[in-house]
Amino acid sequence: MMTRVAITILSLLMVVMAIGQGNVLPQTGKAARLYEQRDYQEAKTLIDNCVAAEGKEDAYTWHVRGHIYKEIYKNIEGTDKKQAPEREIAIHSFLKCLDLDAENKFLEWNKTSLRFLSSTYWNDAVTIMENQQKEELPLAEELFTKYLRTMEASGNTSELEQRKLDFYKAFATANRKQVERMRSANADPTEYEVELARVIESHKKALKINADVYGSNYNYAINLYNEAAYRIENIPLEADLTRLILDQQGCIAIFEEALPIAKKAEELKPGRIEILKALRAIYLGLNNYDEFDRYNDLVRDRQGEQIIQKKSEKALNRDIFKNRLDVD
Amino acid sequence: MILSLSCKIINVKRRLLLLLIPLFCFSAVDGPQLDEKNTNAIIKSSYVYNFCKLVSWPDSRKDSNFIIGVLGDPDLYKQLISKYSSKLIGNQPIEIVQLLGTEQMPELHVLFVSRNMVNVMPSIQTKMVKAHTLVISEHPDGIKHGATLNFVVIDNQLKFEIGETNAVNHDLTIGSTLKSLANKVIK
Repeated sequence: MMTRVAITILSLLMVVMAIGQGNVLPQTGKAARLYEQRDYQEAKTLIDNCVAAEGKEDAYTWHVRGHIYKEIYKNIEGTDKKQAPEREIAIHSFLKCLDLDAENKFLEWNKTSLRFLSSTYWNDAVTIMENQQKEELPLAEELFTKYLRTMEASGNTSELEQRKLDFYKAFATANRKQVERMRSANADPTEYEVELARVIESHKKALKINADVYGSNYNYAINLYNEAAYRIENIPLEADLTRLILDQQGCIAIFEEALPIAKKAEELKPGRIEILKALRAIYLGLNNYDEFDRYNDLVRDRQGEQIIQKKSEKALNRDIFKNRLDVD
Repeated sequence: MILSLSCKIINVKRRLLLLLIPLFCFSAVDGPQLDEKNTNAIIKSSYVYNFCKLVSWPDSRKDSNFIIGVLGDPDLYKQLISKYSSKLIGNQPIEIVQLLGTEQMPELHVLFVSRNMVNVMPSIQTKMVKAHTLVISEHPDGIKHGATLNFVVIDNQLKFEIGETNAVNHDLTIGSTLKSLANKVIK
Protein backbone atom coordinates (compact mmCIF):
# COMPACT_ATOMS: atom_id res chain seq x y z
CA MET A 1 0.00 0.00 0.00
CA MET A 2 2.76 2.41 1.02
CA THR A 3 4.68 1.50 -2.11
CA ARG A 4 1.69 2.25 -4.33
CA VAL A 5 1.18 5.63 -2.72
CA ALA A 6 4.85 6.40 -3.12
CA ILE A 7 4.82 5.41 -6.80
CA THR A 8 1.80 7.62 -7.43
CA ILE A 9 3.48 10.58 -5.77
CA LEU A 10 6.62 9.85 -7.72
CA SER A 11 4.78 9.71 -11.01
CA LEU A 12 3.07 12.99 -10.32
CA LEU A 13 6.32 14.61 -9.32
CA MET A 14 8.00 13.36 -12.44
CA VAL A 15 5.32 14.88 -14.66
CA VAL A 16 5.42 18.15 -12.72
CA MET A 17 9.17 18.08 -13.02
CA ALA A 18 8.91 17.52 -16.73
CA ILE A 19 6.55 20.44 -17.09
CA GLY A 20 8.79 22.51 -14.84
CA GLN A 21 11.66 21.86 -17.19
CA GLY A 22 11.09 24.24 -20.00
CA ASN A 23 13.06 22.28 -22.52
CA VAL A 24 11.51 18.83 -22.14
CA LEU A 25 11.39 17.00 -25.41
CA PRO A 26 7.81 16.42 -26.48
CA GLN A 27 8.23 12.64 -26.81
CA THR A 28 9.85 12.45 -23.38
CA GLY A 29 7.01 14.49 -21.87
CA LYS A 30 4.48 12.12 -23.40
CA ALA A 31 6.36 9.08 -22.13
CA ALA A 32 6.47 10.60 -18.63
CA ARG A 33 2.69 11.13 -18.73
CA LEU A 34 2.16 7.51 -19.86
CA TYR A 35 4.40 6.45 -17.00
CA GLU A 36 2.19 8.40 -14.63
CA GLN A 37 -0.82 6.57 -16.06
CA ARG A 38 1.09 3.32 -15.54
CA ASP A 39 0.93 2.53 -19.20
CA TYR A 40 4.50 1.33 -19.09
CA GLN A 41 4.52 -0.62 -22.34
CA GLU A 42 3.34 2.37 -24.37
CA ALA A 43 5.73 4.63 -22.45
CA LYS A 44 8.55 2.21 -23.26
CA THR A 45 7.88 2.33 -27.00
CA LEU A 46 7.88 6.12 -26.95
CA ILE A 47 10.97 6.52 -24.83
CA ASP A 48 12.93 3.93 -26.83
CA ASN A 49 12.18 5.86 -30.00
CA CYS A 50 13.15 9.06 -28.27
CA VAL A 51 16.57 7.87 -27.04
CA ALA A 52 17.24 6.55 -30.52
CA ALA A 53 16.65 9.99 -32.01
CA GLU A 54 16.32 13.48 -30.50
CA GLY A 55 16.66 12.33 -26.90
CA LYS A 56 19.98 10.62 -27.46
CA GLU A 57 21.97 13.21 -25.54
CA ASP A 58 19.21 14.38 -23.20
CA ALA A 59 19.77 13.48 -19.54
CA TYR A 60 16.12 13.80 -18.57
CA THR A 61 15.01 11.45 -21.37
CA TRP A 62 17.41 8.79 -20.15
CA HIS A 63 16.24 9.38 -16.62
CA VAL A 64 12.59 8.86 -17.56
CA ARG A 65 13.56 5.76 -19.52
CA GLY A 66 15.30 4.38 -16.44
CA HIS A 67 12.13 4.77 -14.39
CA ILE A 68 9.91 3.24 -17.06
CA TYR A 69 12.09 0.18 -17.36
CA LYS A 70 12.47 -0.05 -13.63
CA GLU A 71 8.68 -0.23 -13.20
CA ILE A 72 8.39 -2.81 -15.99
CA TYR A 73 11.07 -4.88 -14.27
CA LYS A 74 9.31 -4.60 -10.91
CA ASN A 75 6.06 -5.86 -12.42
CA ILE A 76 7.66 -8.99 -13.87
CA GLU A 77 6.68 -12.13 -11.99
CA GLY A 78 8.09 -15.61 -12.01
CA THR A 79 11.52 -17.11 -12.31
CA ASP A 80 12.44 -15.17 -15.45
CA LYS A 81 12.64 -12.00 -13.39
CA LYS A 82 16.20 -12.76 -12.29
CA GLN A 83 17.42 -12.52 -15.85
CA ALA A 84 15.02 -9.90 -17.13
CA PRO A 85 16.77 -7.49 -19.53
CA GLU A 86 14.53 -4.65 -18.32
CA ARG A 87 16.58 -4.33 -15.15
CA GLU A 88 19.77 -3.93 -17.12
CA ILE A 89 18.18 -1.44 -19.47
CA ALA A 90 16.95 0.59 -16.50
CA ILE A 91 20.46 0.57 -15.02
CA HIS A 92 22.04 1.47 -18.32
CA SER A 93 19.58 4.38 -18.68
CA PHE A 94 20.28 5.77 -15.21
CA LEU A 95 24.01 5.49 -15.82
CA LYS A 96 23.65 7.23 -19.16
CA CYS A 97 21.72 9.98 -17.41
CA LEU A 98 24.56 10.31 -14.87
CA ASP A 99 26.96 10.80 -17.77
CA LEU A 100 24.88 13.42 -19.48
CA ASP A 101 23.66 15.25 -16.40
CA ALA A 102 26.41 17.85 -16.24
CA GLU A 103 24.57 19.94 -13.65
CA ASN A 104 23.85 16.91 -11.44
CA LYS A 105 20.14 17.68 -11.46
CA PHE A 106 19.27 14.01 -11.25
CA LEU A 107 22.34 12.77 -9.41
CA GLU A 108 20.79 11.73 -6.11
CA TRP A 109 17.70 10.35 -7.75
CA ASN A 110 19.78 8.30 -10.19
CA LYS A 111 21.96 7.01 -7.38
CA THR A 112 18.95 6.01 -5.30
CA SER A 113 17.40 4.15 -8.23
CA LEU A 114 20.68 2.46 -9.04
CA ARG A 115 21.07 1.43 -5.43
CA PHE A 116 17.57 -0.01 -5.49
CA LEU A 117 18.23 -1.97 -8.68
CA SER A 118 21.62 -3.21 -7.55
CA SER A 119 20.00 -4.38 -4.30
CA THR A 120 17.68 -6.56 -6.37
CA TYR A 121 20.76 -8.23 -7.86
CA TRP A 122 22.12 -8.88 -4.39
CA ASN A 123 18.80 -10.23 -3.14
CA ASP A 124 18.39 -12.50 -6.15
CA ALA A 125 21.90 -13.85 -5.64
CA VAL A 126 21.21 -14.54 -1.96
CA THR A 127 17.86 -16.18 -2.75
CA ILE A 128 19.54 -18.51 -5.23
CA MET A 129 22.14 -19.50 -2.66
CA GLU A 130 19.47 -20.07 -0.02
CA ASN A 131 17.37 -22.19 -2.35
CA GLN A 132 20.33 -24.44 -3.07
CA GLN A 133 19.44 -25.02 -6.68
CA LYS A 134 22.65 -26.45 -8.06
CA GLU A 135 22.02 -25.34 -11.64
CA GLU A 136 21.34 -21.76 -10.58
CA LEU A 137 24.49 -21.24 -8.52
CA PRO A 138 26.56 -19.81 -11.40
CA LEU A 139 23.79 -17.25 -11.87
CA ALA A 140 24.21 -16.14 -8.26
CA GLU A 141 27.80 -15.17 -8.99
CA GLU A 142 26.80 -13.49 -12.23
CA LEU A 143 24.15 -11.43 -10.42
CA PHE A 144 26.57 -10.53 -7.68
CA THR A 145 29.04 -9.30 -10.30
CA LYS A 146 26.27 -7.11 -11.73
CA TYR A 147 25.49 -5.85 -8.24
CA LEU A 148 29.13 -4.85 -7.80
CA ARG A 149 29.36 -3.24 -11.21
CA THR A 150 26.20 -1.21 -10.65
CA MET A 151 27.24 -0.07 -7.19
CA GLU A 152 30.67 0.93 -8.45
CA ALA A 153 29.30 2.75 -11.49
CA SER A 154 26.93 4.73 -9.34
CA GLY A 155 29.61 5.61 -6.83
CA ASN A 156 28.04 3.60 -4.00
CA THR A 157 31.26 1.95 -2.95
CA SER A 158 31.44 2.43 0.80
CA GLU A 159 30.34 -1.08 1.84
CA LEU A 160 31.50 -3.01 -1.17
CA GLU A 161 34.53 -4.72 0.38
CA GLN A 162 32.41 -6.09 3.20
CA ARG A 163 29.74 -7.16 0.71
CA LYS A 164 32.36 -8.97 -1.37
CA LEU A 165 33.63 -10.75 1.70
CA ASP A 166 30.10 -11.74 2.76
CA PHE A 167 29.23 -12.95 -0.70
CA TYR A 168 32.35 -15.05 -1.28
CA LYS A 169 31.97 -16.70 2.10
CA ALA A 170 28.32 -17.45 1.40
CA PHE A 171 29.05 -18.61 -2.13
CA ALA A 172 31.70 -20.98 -0.80
CA THR A 173 29.15 -22.34 1.70
CA ALA A 174 26.42 -22.76 -0.92
CA ASN A 175 28.74 -24.69 -3.21
CA ARG A 176 30.22 -26.66 -0.35
CA LYS A 177 26.73 -27.86 0.55
CA GLN A 178 26.33 -29.13 -2.99
CA VAL A 179 29.65 -30.93 -2.72
CA GLU A 180 28.61 -32.50 0.58
CA ARG A 181 25.29 -33.59 -0.91
CA MET A 182 27.13 -35.29 -3.74
CA ARG A 183 29.59 -36.91 -1.37
CA SER A 184 26.72 -38.32 0.72
CA ALA A 185 25.50 -39.94 -2.47
CA ASN A 186 28.97 -41.45 -2.89
CA ALA A 187 29.65 -39.42 -6.00
CA ASP A 188 32.94 -39.57 -7.76
CA PRO A 189 34.95 -36.33 -7.20
CA THR A 190 34.75 -35.61 -10.93
CA GLU A 191 30.98 -35.23 -10.55
CA TYR A 192 31.32 -32.21 -8.26
CA GLU A 193 34.64 -30.74 -9.39
CA VAL A 194 32.96 -27.57 -10.70
CA GLU A 195 31.30 -26.88 -7.35
CA LEU A 196 34.49 -27.70 -5.47
CA ALA A 197 36.48 -25.35 -7.69
CA ARG A 198 33.96 -22.62 -6.82
CA VAL A 199 34.38 -23.35 -3.11
CA ILE A 200 38.14 -23.00 -3.40
CA GLU A 201 38.01 -19.94 -5.64
CA SER A 202 35.55 -18.21 -3.30
CA HIS A 203 37.73 -18.89 -0.27
CA LYS A 204 40.73 -17.50 -2.13
CA LYS A 205 38.83 -14.34 -3.03
CA ALA A 206 37.60 -13.91 0.54
CA LEU A 207 41.14 -14.29 1.87
CA LYS A 208 42.45 -11.83 -0.68
CA ILE A 209 40.09 -9.23 0.79
CA ASN A 210 41.02 -10.08 4.35
CA ALA A 211 43.57 -12.76 5.07
CA ASP A 212 43.15 -12.40 8.82
CA VAL A 213 39.64 -13.78 9.22
CA TYR A 214 39.83 -16.94 11.28
CA GLY A 215 36.62 -18.42 9.85
CA SER A 216 37.72 -17.97 6.25
CA ASN A 217 41.02 -19.72 6.89
CA TYR A 218 39.49 -22.46 8.99
CA ASN A 219 36.64 -23.19 6.57
CA TYR A 220 38.99 -23.23 3.61
CA ALA A 221 41.36 -25.65 5.32
CA ILE A 222 38.51 -27.93 6.38
CA ASN A 223 37.05 -27.98 2.89
CA LEU A 224 40.40 -29.06 1.51
CA TYR A 225 40.96 -31.66 4.22
CA ASN A 226 37.50 -33.16 3.79
CA GLU A 227 38.02 -33.47 0.06
CA ALA A 228 41.33 -35.29 0.40
CA ALA A 229 39.94 -37.55 3.15
CA TYR A 230 36.88 -38.35 1.02
CA ARG A 231 39.08 -39.25 -1.93
CA ILE A 232 41.23 -41.50 0.20
CA GLU A 233 38.22 -43.18 1.72
CA ASN A 234 36.85 -43.83 -1.74
CA ILE A 235 39.93 -45.39 -3.25
CA PRO A 236 38.48 -48.59 -4.72
CA LEU A 237 39.08 -51.72 -2.68
CA GLU A 238 40.69 -53.42 -5.64
CA ALA A 239 42.87 -50.47 -6.61
CA ASP A 240 46.27 -51.75 -7.67
CA LEU A 241 49.48 -50.30 -6.30
CA THR A 242 50.04 -47.91 -9.19
CA ARG A 243 46.56 -46.42 -8.78
CA LEU A 244 47.01 -46.29 -5.01
CA ILE A 245 50.30 -44.41 -5.33
CA LEU A 246 48.83 -41.92 -7.82
CA ASP A 247 45.67 -41.32 -5.79
CA GLN A 248 47.77 -40.85 -2.69
CA GLN A 249 49.94 -38.26 -4.46
CA GLY A 250 46.84 -36.27 -5.44
CA CYS A 251 45.53 -36.27 -1.90
CA ILE A 252 48.89 -35.34 -0.38
CA ALA A 253 48.91 -32.28 -2.65
CA ILE A 254 45.53 -31.27 -1.19
CA PHE A 255 46.71 -31.83 2.39
CA GLU A 256 49.80 -29.76 1.61
CA GLU A 257 47.57 -26.96 0.36
CA ALA A 258 45.43 -27.15 3.50
CA LEU A 259 48.35 -27.05 5.94
CA PRO A 260 49.48 -23.39 5.71
CA ILE A 261 45.87 -22.23 5.75
CA ALA A 262 45.11 -24.22 8.88
CA LYS A 263 48.34 -22.93 10.45
CA LYS A 264 47.22 -19.37 9.69
CA ALA A 265 43.89 -20.08 11.41
CA GLU A 266 45.78 -21.43 14.42
CA GLU A 267 47.94 -18.31 14.46
CA LEU A 268 44.80 -16.15 14.50
CA LYS A 269 43.11 -18.11 17.30
CA PRO A 270 45.67 -20.29 19.02
CA GLY A 271 44.45 -23.15 21.17
CA ARG A 272 40.97 -23.49 19.67
CA ILE A 273 40.13 -27.16 19.82
CA GLU A 274 38.61 -27.34 16.35
CA ILE A 275 41.74 -26.03 14.68
CA LEU A 276 43.92 -28.31 16.79
CA LYS A 277 41.83 -31.26 15.59
CA ALA A 278 42.08 -30.06 12.00
CA LEU A 279 45.85 -29.80 12.23
CA ARG A 280 46.06 -33.23 13.83
CA ALA A 281 44.06 -34.65 10.93
CA ILE A 282 46.08 -32.82 8.28
CA TYR A 283 49.40 -33.94 9.74
CA LEU A 284 48.20 -37.54 9.79
CA GLY A 285 47.15 -37.10 6.16
CA LEU A 286 50.70 -35.93 5.49
CA ASN A 287 52.04 -38.96 7.39
CA ASN A 288 53.91 -36.62 9.72
CA TYR A 289 53.73 -38.73 12.86
CA ASP A 290 55.68 -36.37 15.10
CA GLU A 291 53.38 -33.42 14.42
CA PHE A 292 50.35 -35.69 14.54
CA ASP A 293 51.40 -36.88 18.01
CA ARG A 294 52.03 -33.30 19.12
CA TYR A 295 48.61 -32.09 18.02
CA ASN A 296 46.97 -35.22 19.37
CA ASP A 297 48.44 -34.37 22.77
CA LEU A 298 47.28 -30.75 22.45
CA VAL A 299 43.74 -31.90 21.60
CA ARG A 300 43.70 -34.22 24.58
CA ASP A 301 45.02 -31.52 26.90
CA ARG A 302 42.38 -29.11 25.62
CA GLN A 303 39.66 -31.72 26.01
CA GLY A 304 40.89 -32.40 29.53
CA GLU A 305 40.80 -28.70 30.34
CA GLN A 306 37.27 -28.48 29.03
CA ILE A 307 36.14 -31.40 31.19
CA ILE A 308 37.77 -29.86 34.26
CA GLN A 309 36.19 -26.51 33.44
CA LYS A 310 32.75 -28.08 33.09
CA LYS A 311 33.18 -29.96 36.36
CA SER A 312 34.27 -26.76 38.11
CA GLU A 313 31.27 -24.91 36.74
CA LYS A 314 28.98 -27.70 37.95
CA ALA A 315 30.63 -27.70 41.36
CA LEU A 316 30.34 -23.93 41.54
CA ASN A 317 26.66 -24.10 40.63
CA ARG A 318 26.13 -26.77 43.28
CA ASP A 319 27.84 -24.59 45.88
CA ILE A 320 25.75 -21.58 44.95
CA PHE A 321 22.61 -23.69 45.16
CA LYS A 322 23.68 -25.14 48.51
CA ASN A 323 24.50 -21.68 49.89
CA ARG A 324 21.10 -20.44 48.85
CA LEU A 325 19.44 -23.33 50.62
CA ASP A 326 21.54 -22.58 53.72
CA VAL A 327 20.49 -18.94 53.62
CA ASP A 328 16.83 -19.86 53.17
CA MET B 1 11.83 24.50 -8.81
CA ILE B 2 13.44 21.44 -10.29
CA LEU B 3 15.81 21.22 -7.36
CA SER B 4 13.11 21.40 -4.70
CA LEU B 5 11.08 18.82 -6.55
CA SER B 6 14.10 16.58 -6.79
CA CYS B 7 14.53 16.77 -3.02
CA LYS B 8 10.93 15.70 -2.50
CA ILE B 9 11.36 12.91 -4.97
CA ILE B 10 14.49 11.75 -3.20
CA ASN B 11 12.63 11.62 0.10
CA VAL B 12 9.93 9.49 -1.46
CA LYS B 13 12.54 7.32 -3.12
CA ARG B 14 14.33 6.74 0.15
CA ARG B 15 11.21 5.09 1.44
CA LEU B 16 11.32 2.83 -1.59
CA LEU B 17 14.85 1.63 -0.91
CA LEU B 18 15.11 -2.11 -0.96
CA LEU B 19 16.66 -3.80 2.01
CA LEU B 20 19.47 -6.22 1.32
CA ILE B 21 18.73 -9.76 2.41
CA PRO B 22 21.24 -10.53 5.11
CA LEU B 23 23.34 -13.66 4.83
CA PHE B 24 22.28 -15.13 8.17
CA CYS B 25 21.92 -18.57 6.71
CA PHE B 26 25.60 -18.60 5.90
CA SER B 27 26.84 -17.65 9.32
CA ALA B 28 29.74 -19.24 11.16
CA VAL B 29 27.56 -22.01 12.63
CA ASP B 30 26.89 -23.13 9.09
CA GLY B 31 30.57 -23.83 8.42
CA PRO B 32 31.99 -27.15 7.28
CA GLN B 33 32.46 -29.86 9.88
CA LEU B 34 35.78 -31.62 10.02
CA ASP B 35 35.23 -35.15 8.75
CA GLU B 36 38.27 -36.54 10.52
CA LYS B 37 39.47 -39.89 9.28
CA ASN B 38 42.54 -41.96 9.84
CA THR B 39 43.66 -41.52 6.24
CA ASN B 40 47.01 -43.09 7.06
CA ALA B 41 45.30 -46.33 8.17
CA ILE B 42 43.06 -46.34 5.09
CA ILE B 43 46.04 -46.11 2.75
CA LYS B 44 48.05 -48.64 4.71
CA SER B 45 45.18 -51.14 4.57
CA SER B 46 45.10 -50.82 0.80
CA TYR B 47 48.87 -51.29 0.65
CA VAL B 48 48.72 -54.37 2.89
CA TYR B 49 46.05 -55.96 0.72
CA ASN B 50 48.17 -55.33 -2.38
CA PHE B 51 51.25 -56.75 -0.65
CA CYS B 52 49.29 -59.92 0.06
CA LYS B 53 48.45 -60.23 -3.63
CA LEU B 54 51.97 -59.56 -4.86
CA VAL B 55 53.92 -61.88 -2.55
CA SER B 56 53.97 -65.69 -2.89
CA TRP B 57 53.94 -68.01 0.07
CA PRO B 58 55.17 -71.61 0.00
CA ASP B 59 52.60 -74.22 -1.03
CA SER B 60 52.39 -75.48 2.54
CA ARG B 61 50.73 -72.17 3.46
CA LYS B 62 48.13 -72.17 0.71
CA ASP B 63 45.46 -74.45 2.10
CA SER B 64 44.14 -72.56 5.09
CA ASN B 65 42.67 -69.15 5.79
CA PHE B 66 44.98 -66.29 4.91
CA ILE B 67 45.69 -64.79 8.30
CA ILE B 68 46.77 -61.19 8.76
CA GLY B 69 47.78 -60.16 12.28
CA VAL B 70 47.88 -56.56 13.38
CA LEU B 71 50.02 -55.56 16.33
CA GLY B 72 49.11 -52.05 17.46
CA ASP B 73 47.27 -49.59 15.20
CA PRO B 74 43.64 -50.51 15.96
CA ASP B 75 42.48 -48.24 13.12
CA LEU B 76 44.37 -50.30 10.57
CA TYR B 77 42.79 -53.42 12.03
CA LYS B 78 39.33 -51.84 11.68
CA GLN B 79 40.04 -50.80 8.09
CA LEU B 80 41.22 -54.28 7.16
CA ILE B 81 38.17 -55.85 8.79
CA SER B 82 35.70 -53.50 7.13
CA LYS B 83 37.25 -53.57 3.68
CA TYR B 84 39.02 -56.83 3.15
CA SER B 85 37.74 -59.46 5.57
CA SER B 86 35.43 -60.91 2.93
CA LYS B 87 38.10 -61.01 0.22
CA LEU B 88 40.28 -63.87 -0.94
CA ILE B 89 44.00 -64.13 -1.54
CA GLY B 90 44.09 -66.73 -4.27
CA ASN B 91 41.58 -69.24 -2.93
CA GLN B 92 42.22 -68.41 0.69
CA PRO B 93 39.66 -66.40 2.62
CA ILE B 94 41.24 -63.53 4.52
CA GLU B 95 41.10 -63.62 8.29
CA ILE B 96 42.22 -60.62 10.26
CA VAL B 97 43.29 -60.83 13.88
CA GLN B 98 44.21 -58.12 16.30
CA LEU B 99 47.16 -59.09 18.47
CA LEU B 100 47.61 -57.74 21.94
CA GLY B 101 51.19 -58.90 22.37
CA THR B 102 53.81 -61.28 21.05
CA GLU B 103 53.35 -64.03 23.63
CA GLN B 104 50.72 -66.12 21.92
CA MET B 105 50.91 -65.62 18.22
CA PRO B 106 48.95 -67.77 15.81
CA GLU B 107 50.49 -68.96 12.58
CA LEU B 108 50.29 -65.85 10.46
CA HIS B 109 50.75 -65.13 6.77
CA VAL B 110 51.24 -61.45 7.47
CA LEU B 111 52.19 -59.62 10.62
CA PHE B 112 51.90 -55.85 10.70
CA VAL B 113 53.83 -54.19 13.52
CA SER B 114 52.85 -50.58 14.14
CA ARG B 115 55.35 -47.81 14.81
CA ASN B 116 54.58 -47.72 18.51
CA MET B 117 55.26 -51.44 18.88
CA VAL B 118 58.77 -51.27 17.46
CA ASN B 119 60.25 -52.34 20.79
CA VAL B 120 58.85 -55.84 20.30
CA MET B 121 60.59 -56.25 16.93
CA PRO B 122 63.61 -58.14 18.39
CA SER B 123 61.36 -60.73 20.06
CA ILE B 124 59.32 -61.04 16.86
CA GLN B 125 62.50 -61.58 14.90
CA THR B 126 63.41 -64.43 17.25
CA LYS B 127 59.95 -66.00 17.22
CA MET B 128 59.44 -65.72 13.50
CA VAL B 129 62.85 -66.94 12.47
CA LYS B 130 61.50 -69.98 10.64
CA ALA B 131 57.96 -68.83 10.04
CA HIS B 132 56.64 -68.15 6.56
CA THR B 133 55.35 -64.82 7.73
CA LEU B 134 55.56 -61.53 5.90
CA VAL B 135 56.48 -59.03 8.59
CA ILE B 136 55.53 -55.47 7.74
CA SER B 137 56.84 -52.65 9.90
CA GLU B 138 56.81 -48.86 9.83
CA HIS B 139 60.07 -47.86 11.44
CA PRO B 140 63.26 -46.44 9.91
CA ASP B 141 65.13 -49.57 11.04
CA GLY B 142 62.32 -51.98 10.22
CA ILE B 143 64.28 -54.00 7.65
CA LYS B 144 67.25 -54.20 10.02
CA HIS B 145 64.90 -55.59 12.67
CA GLY B 146 63.76 -58.40 10.37
CA ALA B 147 60.80 -56.96 8.48
CA THR B 148 60.41 -57.93 4.84
CA LEU B 149 58.42 -54.85 3.98
CA ASN B 150 58.74 -51.52 5.72
CA PHE B 151 56.62 -48.38 5.33
CA VAL B 152 58.61 -45.18 4.92
CA VAL B 153 57.48 -41.60 4.47
CA ILE B 154 59.09 -39.78 1.56
CA ASP B 155 57.89 -36.27 0.71
CA ASN B 156 54.85 -36.80 2.94
CA GLN B 157 53.92 -39.90 0.97
CA LEU B 158 53.65 -43.37 2.30
CA LYS B 159 56.03 -45.62 0.38
CA PHE B 160 57.63 -48.94 1.14
CA GLU B 161 60.97 -50.64 1.03
CA ILE B 162 61.75 -54.31 0.64
CA GLY B 163 64.18 -56.39 2.67
CA GLU B 164 65.09 -59.01 0.09
CA THR B 165 67.23 -61.14 2.40
CA ASN B 166 64.46 -61.23 4.98
CA ALA B 167 62.04 -62.39 2.28
CA VAL B 168 64.37 -65.25 1.36
CA ASN B 169 64.80 -66.15 5.04
CA HIS B 170 61.04 -66.58 5.37
CA ASP B 171 60.71 -68.44 2.08
CA LEU B 172 58.63 -65.68 0.53
CA THR B 173 58.79 -64.60 -3.10
CA ILE B 174 58.40 -60.93 -3.81
CA GLY B 175 56.70 -60.24 -7.14
CA SER B 176 58.39 -58.10 -9.74
CA THR B 177 55.59 -55.49 -9.66
CA LEU B 178 56.13 -54.99 -5.97
CA LYS B 179 59.88 -54.66 -6.48
CA SER B 180 59.46 -52.16 -9.26
CA LEU B 181 57.20 -49.94 -7.17
CA ALA B 182 59.29 -50.10 -4.00
CA ASN B 183 61.13 -47.03 -2.85
CA LYS B 184 64.14 -49.19 -2.13
CA VAL B 185 65.06 -52.88 -2.32
CA ILE B 186 67.55 -53.72 0.41
CA LYS B 187 69.66 -56.80 -0.17
